[in-house]
Amino acid sequence: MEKKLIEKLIKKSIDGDERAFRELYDKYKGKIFKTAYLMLRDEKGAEDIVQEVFITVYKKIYKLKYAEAFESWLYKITINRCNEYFRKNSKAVVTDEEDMYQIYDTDIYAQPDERLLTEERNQQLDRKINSLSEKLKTCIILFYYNNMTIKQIADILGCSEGTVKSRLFKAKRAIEKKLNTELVKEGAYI
Amino acid sequence: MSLDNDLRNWAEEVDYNLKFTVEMSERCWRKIGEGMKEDRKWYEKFFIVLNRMNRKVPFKIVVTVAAVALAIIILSKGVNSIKDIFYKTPTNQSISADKEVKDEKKSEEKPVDEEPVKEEPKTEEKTEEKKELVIKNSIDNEDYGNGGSVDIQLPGHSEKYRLLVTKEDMKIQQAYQNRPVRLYLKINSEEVIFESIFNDGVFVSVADFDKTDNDIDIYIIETTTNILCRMYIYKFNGTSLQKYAELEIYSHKFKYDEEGNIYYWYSSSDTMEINKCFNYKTKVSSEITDPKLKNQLNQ
Repeated sequence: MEKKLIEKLIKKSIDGDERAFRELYDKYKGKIFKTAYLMLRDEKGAEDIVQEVFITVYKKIYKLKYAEAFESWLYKITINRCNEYFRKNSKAVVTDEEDMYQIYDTDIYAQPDERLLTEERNQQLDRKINSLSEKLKTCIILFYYNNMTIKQIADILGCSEGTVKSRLFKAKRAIEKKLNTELVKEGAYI
Repeated sequence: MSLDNDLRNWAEEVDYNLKFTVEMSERCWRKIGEGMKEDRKWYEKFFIVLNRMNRKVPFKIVVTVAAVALAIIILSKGVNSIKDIFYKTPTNQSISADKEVKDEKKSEEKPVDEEPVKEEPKTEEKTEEKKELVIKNSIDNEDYGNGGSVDIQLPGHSEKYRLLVTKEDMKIQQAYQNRPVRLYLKINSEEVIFESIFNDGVFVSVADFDKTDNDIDIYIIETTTNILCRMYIYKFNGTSLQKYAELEIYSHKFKYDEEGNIYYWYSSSDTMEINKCFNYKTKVSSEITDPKLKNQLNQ
């Protein structure tokens, strides 16, 4: 049902139907913003990416042959725009770990201790993911946050499935290593 | 707990906590709108046209037919006739349309007494056309109950207005509440907040129940756990968005004729037969007695 609707919206958008395009935008804007934010850690930058991505989509959507490929294509544009943003603003992008948690709400249903532990764990993970190289970070975000398959990620990044698997493996090892080092530093093993 | 699970938890938390607010969304959309206005390049336009044609008729057929048609014209009339095709030669219809415009202009210039008497039959034809009742089905109206937006064109206005519907889940405060939800209907600076604390689905759609007024109707249908639904009609006249009427109907489906009549089912029988008519102008409901109309509505 959802697929058919999106297919319909894409076809209408190709024909220049602004209403249909707005609906497409409404469906994907949140995910695109969050993906871009996780990549850049810059709210303003992520907003700019959303704008650029959808302007590109509007202008190039006629090139899309199969509606099924829309989502992968959308993320491909997002990742490319993020990479461009990195290149242009390599000095300007500051990894502000605290900043992200300012917009984090706390889960009101969790018990205080449990909540603190989960929050702390997530913060630690977030810092580690953010400190990864662009390529590894992209794989982690697309796989865990966007719930994409290895094949989809390979299509988006334009590499083989094997490369994606090895990047994911490397990324997880790097995160584990960093987490363990932190635990040792804090004396958790004593 | 494995790192895999931790990463999935992290992803869930990120998704839940990161917010792309309505303000951000609208700000972005305005910028996108500016980008969309930049004219497409000529080859992009060409590909769009090709794409459209290709969907309806395979491109090879279109090219072959065009080539054959061109060849026939050249063979029968000579090369000069091709020029005629590309020059704007008005068709019979467009000529008559032009004439009508000219005639209208002339009649405007003439004093009222000089209006031609011959035009009378045309008005008769029009009234005959009007007699045929066009009935619309609410199922055909798009639902924005889960959020979304739609452009609204008011009759007699060239300006378009955008209705933005946002949905927000509310917290359950009483045991009897069922999936409480809050809807924000926004057009320009006008906003209506609608809350449904006991719902099995809320539908939001746009219709024009009465073509004779200059308003557009936005209606909300709140379904409850049984088949009885409540319908709320809001009117937008270009400046204000206000609640106009409220009625109870059975099932969320109904029909209307855009002339001020809303037909719906309201009876304890389980026939699901449309038996009531709500007069939009007088806000009074009555039983449908005309068997022909009833038959037409329940087909």
